[in-house]
Amino acid sequence: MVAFVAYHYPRKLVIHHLTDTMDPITQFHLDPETPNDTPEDPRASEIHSIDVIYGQGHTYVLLGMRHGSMISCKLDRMDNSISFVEPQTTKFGQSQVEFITATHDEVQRNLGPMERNSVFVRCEYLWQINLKDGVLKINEVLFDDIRMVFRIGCEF
Amino acid sequence: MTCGKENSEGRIVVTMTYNETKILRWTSPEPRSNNMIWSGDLEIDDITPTLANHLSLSEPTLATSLVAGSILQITPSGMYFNDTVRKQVSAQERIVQASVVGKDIILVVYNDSGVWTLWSITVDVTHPSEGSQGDDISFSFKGQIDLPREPSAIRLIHFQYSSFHLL
Repeated sequence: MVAFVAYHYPRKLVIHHLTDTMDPITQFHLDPETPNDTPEDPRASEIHSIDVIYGQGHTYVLLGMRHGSMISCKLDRMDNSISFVEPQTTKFGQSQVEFITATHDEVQRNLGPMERNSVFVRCEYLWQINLKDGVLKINEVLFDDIRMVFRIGCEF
Repeated sequence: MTCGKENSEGRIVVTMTYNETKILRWTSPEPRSNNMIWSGDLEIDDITPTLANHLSLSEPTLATSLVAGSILQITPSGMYFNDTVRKQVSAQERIVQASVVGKDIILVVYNDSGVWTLWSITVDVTHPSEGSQGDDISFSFKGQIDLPREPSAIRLIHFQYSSFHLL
């Protein structure tokens, strides 16, 4: 288990390994040109929400920003460390970006290959992000008369 | 949160703008099994009064999950399961952020001394022996680390660092 912790002033994302010590594993600076002891531009949008999408050997961290955009970073393993590469920004609107995710334990229920290749996003409208062939595909969810049930939740 | 046979019933935990929590129950007149076509019709009832003794309803809900058939609720004052299982922080502390996956929880706790701390906690569910009623539920403290300042967001993910596979 790991914890993703986001900060502002300056903006960065830190991954903690949830062992007894909970030491940080790695971190990603969104504004690498800003020194750690210098407050960033106060107009910059802070990280508001975090999610991860993965499958077929590819893993992306998704950062929902306060003012309507999302930054996606590919997680790459080099030697014995994790790095964030290929950051890209997608603009959804003006309001805060929220990921809609289930809180039940998918690991215990998933008997097939470990994949989590779809995430829903709320920012003024509803969006769906899919990971296909190692590339993120983003589409607005359009409602019609036909609805399919794609996931069974926790049963008791 | 979904539950019940054929995925046809669930709970919605709502934090109101005035920092009160409401619990709603949704039911679908049709089954909602995987890959079935569904009309999208739901019936929604407010069941908040029936849970007044189980949850903390006068605070905002920071995170919630369904564990062993009960609603786990995390608020600034603590974690609540029902009227007997709860863990509250001290008067000098308050929970400001929370993230839950299954039985695992992380919290950001602010102390009046000005310290921000990340806590890792697990919910332990022990199935009772035959003849006993209900599951035995408790919280296990796994670890903590002081943070340099207030985080703007946190997220708990199943991730096996050593093999770089998400779990």
